[in-house]
Amino acid sequence: MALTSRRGFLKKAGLGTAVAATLPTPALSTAIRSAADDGIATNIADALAHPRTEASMPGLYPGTVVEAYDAQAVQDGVIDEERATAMLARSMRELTGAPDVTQAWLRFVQPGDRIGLKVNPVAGKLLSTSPSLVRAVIAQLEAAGIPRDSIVLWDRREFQLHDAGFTTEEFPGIRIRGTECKDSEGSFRDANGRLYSEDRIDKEWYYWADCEDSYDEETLPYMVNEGKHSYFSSIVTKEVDKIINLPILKNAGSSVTLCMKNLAYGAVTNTARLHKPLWAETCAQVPCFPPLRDKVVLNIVDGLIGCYHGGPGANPQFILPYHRLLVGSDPVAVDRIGLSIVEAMRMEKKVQDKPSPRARGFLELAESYELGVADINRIHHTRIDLS
Amino acid sequence: MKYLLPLFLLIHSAVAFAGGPLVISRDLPGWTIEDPDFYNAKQLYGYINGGAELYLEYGFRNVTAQRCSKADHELQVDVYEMRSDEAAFGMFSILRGSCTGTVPGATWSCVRPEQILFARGKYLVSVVPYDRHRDTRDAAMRAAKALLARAGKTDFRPNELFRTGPLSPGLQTMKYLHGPLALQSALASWDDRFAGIERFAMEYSRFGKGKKETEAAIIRFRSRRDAERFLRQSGVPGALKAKGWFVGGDGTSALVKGGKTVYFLAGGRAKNLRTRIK
Repeated sequence: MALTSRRGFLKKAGLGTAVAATLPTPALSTAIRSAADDGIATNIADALAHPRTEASMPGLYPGTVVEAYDAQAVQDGVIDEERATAMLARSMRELTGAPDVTQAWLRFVQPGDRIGLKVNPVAGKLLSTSPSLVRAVIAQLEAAGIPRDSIVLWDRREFQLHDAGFTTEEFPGIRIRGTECKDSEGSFRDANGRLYSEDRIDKEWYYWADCEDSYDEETLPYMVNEGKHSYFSSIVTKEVDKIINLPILKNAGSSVTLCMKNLAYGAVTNTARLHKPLWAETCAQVPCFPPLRDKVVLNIVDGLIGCYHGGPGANPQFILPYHRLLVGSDPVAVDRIGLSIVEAMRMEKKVQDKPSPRARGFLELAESYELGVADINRIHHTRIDLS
Repeated sequence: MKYLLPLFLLIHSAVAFAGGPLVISRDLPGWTIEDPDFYNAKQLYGYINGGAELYLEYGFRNVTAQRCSKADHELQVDVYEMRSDEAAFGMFSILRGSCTGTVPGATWSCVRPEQILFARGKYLVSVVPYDRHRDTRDAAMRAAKALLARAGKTDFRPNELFRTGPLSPGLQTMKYLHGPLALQSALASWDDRFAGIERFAMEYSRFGKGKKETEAAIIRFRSRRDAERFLRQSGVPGALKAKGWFVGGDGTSALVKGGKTVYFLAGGRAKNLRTRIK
């Protein structure tokens, strides 16, 4: 498969000259309406008012997903790093049509870029983005001319990164940063009682939603602030030029927590208030803001080991090797394929009888914001078996 | 005798922390047991982040987390105190999966190489051995047994029909679902039936194989209107006015008691079961 240009793909997919022209279908209109029906206002209009750029989601390859499978990628619960590296390299070449893996990476990054790798360690070491895959990404970035000191491994909570194995010992030369952080004594606050995290948020950029929660003294450091604003991490707004998104293949109820959720809930503060009333909206709307929309160049779903039930937390009995990577620049399309894989596993394991339309509501909403393609029939899905 | 009460209080305080039972050093000789971390409902997002809502929907009080280690071996012990026995069982029923064994003495338990899970009273206990070494697995079981002994003696008691009645074949796979997130997580195919209904409590089981596969549920709704909506959305709207079982076109059947409790049957054995459930 040769996918050498965005225009070429768009022609193939019959999407017209720009994915920006993708119009809401009736299903999308329903999704928008249902969000509005809940009556909770947000500042999504502010996000949409920012002009799109060449780099905006869905990036270079809208509606395209490469799925690499290798039945030997995980053996006895241990990831074969060499195979994972090969799966990534092959996926990159397949996605881009580039003659070699370095050329493939250079479609997305250039020397001089500051690259943020958004991993997901929230479920602990049992169900984190695997250090093996992250090492593979870093090695291929280095081969493309990105020095290690231009790479930042980041997420919400710095200590969770450490717990999941993302330490300076394991990743020498790579900066490891979390918005929420503690000092060497284990305190979230400095001598004046100020949260260290406050220095790692950017109040110029925020997601506002007309709902709020209050947090006690112990919870506030995990949320950074109360009120109706969720501020973007300055890691996103100031410390990186481009983001490579590395979620894990896992369920969240009958839906999934993949690219969109990893970005939305990983990049802003004060998220607890958003989970129940605005989960789908948050997943679709936060990535509409330019710090994410215009910086996320690539999504690599770590499906080497994932889960099909009990997620997004780690419930070991539902964790299994999927032996897969999903790669694409379009986070919505990647999530849609990921959802179908998780749904298939849930049905195989008899957790679920049939796909749940509600599970893809956030993707339809994201498509209405032109972040990518949610309709599985319009996604160009390439499967590679490297077993 | 006068020393017994202080002694009891001392021991009790050593093994119970903010209400939840703890693993103590005598449970795991030679292991290092770290001080427990404690999270209440407000703090749960700090501990399990995106997984918190389901616990909160069921009625979560607090979780006590302990890490136990010995050389390279490690255990994670989490004791969730829920609002009620039903809530603890409800979470257990969603999380248990298929099991290779049980915890001796526990009514509701599930043992797998990756995790020991049980519900006792209002506590849901998870013990995760981080490796498959025999010492670690043995320690995990010892910790589970110790916590079981400290977690009280009450257990969730399902409806009699599931315990000893005609629905008892479904007892071991029975789920207790309480609210939309639980439904989404464990029974998404019933989503349409519950559209617009926020609060309910359901004992549900699917049992039997092939043509005999049967779904059975006992659902308590908050209002007659919710029950009516469920029946309408399940294709058995006539059940609300029927004097006995109402059978829909596809064999789905419902029986309403007190206007707000619905007995529901579908599948291969529904006809037979209807004659035994009045």
